[in-house]
Amino acid sequence: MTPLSGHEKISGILLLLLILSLTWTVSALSDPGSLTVVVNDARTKEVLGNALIYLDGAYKGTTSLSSGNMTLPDVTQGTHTVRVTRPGFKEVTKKFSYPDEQTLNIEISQGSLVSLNGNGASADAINVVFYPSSTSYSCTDHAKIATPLYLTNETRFREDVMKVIRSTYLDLDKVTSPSEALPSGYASRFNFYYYYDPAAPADAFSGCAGTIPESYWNEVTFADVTVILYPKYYGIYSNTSCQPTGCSQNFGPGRNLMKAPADQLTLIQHETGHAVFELVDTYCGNTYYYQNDPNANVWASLESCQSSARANQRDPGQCRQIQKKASLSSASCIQNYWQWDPMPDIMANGYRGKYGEAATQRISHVISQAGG
Amino acid sequence: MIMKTVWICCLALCLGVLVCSCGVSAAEQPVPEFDKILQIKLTYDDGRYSVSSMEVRYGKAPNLKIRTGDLAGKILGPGGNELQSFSVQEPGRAYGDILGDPGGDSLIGYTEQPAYSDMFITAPYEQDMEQFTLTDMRDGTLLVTADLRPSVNVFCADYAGDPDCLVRAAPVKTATPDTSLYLVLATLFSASVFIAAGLAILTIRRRTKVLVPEKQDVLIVDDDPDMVEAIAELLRMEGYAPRTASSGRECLDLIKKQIPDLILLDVGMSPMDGWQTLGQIKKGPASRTIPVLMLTGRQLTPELAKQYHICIDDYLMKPFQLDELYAAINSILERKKQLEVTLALARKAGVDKDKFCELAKLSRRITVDKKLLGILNVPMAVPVVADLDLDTLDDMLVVDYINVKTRDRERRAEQLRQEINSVFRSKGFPELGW
Repeated sequence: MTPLSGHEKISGILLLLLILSLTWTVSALSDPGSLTVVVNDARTKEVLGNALIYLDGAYKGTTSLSSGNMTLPDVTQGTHTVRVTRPGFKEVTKKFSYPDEQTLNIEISQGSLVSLNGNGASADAINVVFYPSSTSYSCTDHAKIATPLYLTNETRFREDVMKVIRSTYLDLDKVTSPSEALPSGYASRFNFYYYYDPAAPADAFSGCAGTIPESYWNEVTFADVTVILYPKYYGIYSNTSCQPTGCSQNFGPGRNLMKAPADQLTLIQHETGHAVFELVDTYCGNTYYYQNDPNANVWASLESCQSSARANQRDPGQCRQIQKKASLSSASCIQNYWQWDPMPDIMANGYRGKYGEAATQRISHVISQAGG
Repeated sequence: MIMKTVWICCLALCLGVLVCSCGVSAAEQPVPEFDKILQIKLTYDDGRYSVSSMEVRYGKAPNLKIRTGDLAGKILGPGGNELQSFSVQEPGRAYGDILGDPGGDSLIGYTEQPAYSDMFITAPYEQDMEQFTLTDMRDGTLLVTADLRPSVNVFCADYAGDPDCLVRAAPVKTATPDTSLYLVLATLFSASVFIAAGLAILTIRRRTKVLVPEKQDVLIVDDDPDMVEAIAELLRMEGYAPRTASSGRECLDLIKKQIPDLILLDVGMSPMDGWQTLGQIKKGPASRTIPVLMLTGRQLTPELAKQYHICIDDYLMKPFQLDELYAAINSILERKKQLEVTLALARKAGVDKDKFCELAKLSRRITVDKKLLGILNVPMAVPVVADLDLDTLDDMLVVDYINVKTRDRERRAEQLRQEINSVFRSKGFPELGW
């Protein structure tokens, strides 16, 4: 028998070690056990059936209605991740070590997101989430004030939200140009929700469009626009010294914020024009102008405006520069941007008007990008 | 492909069996949800973007198709294959509207465009996604890229049984050859050796990464090839990673591809001189914050000082001493690093970002201006001019102008410093050292 070389000896030892380790691994793997998951409501402590249990990402079934338990067989030794979901509740994940932990007690909390679509959400539709503000503005003190209105009265908040939804989204055909048809069944291309957690309200008067607690953004990842609705100003509106404000601010897809006062529906429509349809202001003032292609409502040159008008069978002669004459309350203003839509245009006026033909064309374009 | 399909079918069948085995009809049973999202948090810092965090998690994504904007986001797969593309606006831009007099101007606008902002990209998970890119569509500048594979791997380590993770792992599982035990063991043995070697390499690389700081990317721009090569060699010896450009145009092209940590820019180039190049750099949203060290052979005159007054970080007169060059570079990069650290503290302390940014800019400007005044041999004078446009001043007044502005800036900087330090003190953080 030929003696083994050093290299062969080392290879042999490594092979032996490998076989031993494989044997040990197979032995460990062949000795799985069972795990019991018990799911309770975090608030009431009642057991919850129909909670979906996933082990290491694989769906395993639901907890029993009577005991809130589910027993998972064949759980191997080591670290695992269990995920628990249940419609209407916040998802929970937990890492655990088996067999150190053979029973997991998991509490899940009711979610704060309420769907307003009777028939459930449509895939690829535009998701609009309303959020109550705990602040408004006092025209007497000229300062932000705390208001309990929405935090103590969910019904009132819901009613205000429904008013906004009807006037701004469901009756969109009444505030858009009749010359441009909206996509058929446009109302079904929106999913509406409101988020109600009185312990975590929004502040409409922190920053331009307000702020919302981070816990919301962790839970609601799919909102195309989140609307902070605040109760009407306290005291009497008086010209520009105390008038409601709206704002739209974008921090990336999924973090698009807008705020508006519940009692000013035209202002809400104006802000929706920015936040949902990316329309540009057509008044002359301190705002951002740009040619918002495709289907713009503001153009960077007269030629572009006229060219778009001709392509869409509109009168190119109606293209005009964004400007205003001096008045008692303001200085004159002129911008190097052009508009087509006639006045009163919602993108220029906070009290009255409609979305003009060009704006409506853009609205149709955005809605048609969404499913429903 | 066939194996993948069979695998998915088997998985679907298994899930079906699981659902049926509970003895409840599918209509009554909640449906398992495996929707996943990719979440990237970016930091926008005066035109520059960087990745703050990134993860794959369960959740639903917003509707990316309805958005438009100047920035193009892309999710790429193997070989740069585009899996998803979307457009977004610059973060933080706010459109504010105040209701005006009902009979007069009915809306009054106000805007916000913060110099610092967080930006969040939430996109649907895509099988095989590998890279994320964000590009400015106005000039084609690549703003940020991110390798997505580590985030996917972390997710699949926690959720190995997720259908998408199973599909990712499937090719490895199906590749096991159907041969004798010997061959199986030999294959496993080889795999173990490779894995061990791979792990060892990874460990060494990780350790190496910890021990050796990333090389600073310095772009040298000069139309004198000997000068460029000499400086590049000197910087290489000091552990920098120099890149070179022989013209202003080439410099602008290079920074579109990769933003350097610092630019050394020669003034006397043609046809585009250093000042014109600097003007273009400062116009680009992604490039305007790159520190620039100007290199000039000319004596400093008030006329030149007027030009220096536009946003440079420092300058060196040629010929310069080697230690002067190193000192200037180190000072700029150290300052940048210090600023990043302090900014992180400021954010943690809740200091107003705009105030912090203003102080940082003022501080830089004051240092450069004082150096200019020193070179021009002018004492700090009593203010005699104010609120004048620098472009309209003759050379005589330039010095006075810089003097006045420097004093104004010092007063404002001191005020900001005190405000920020008071917040820092209240949080127990060390006070600003600059």
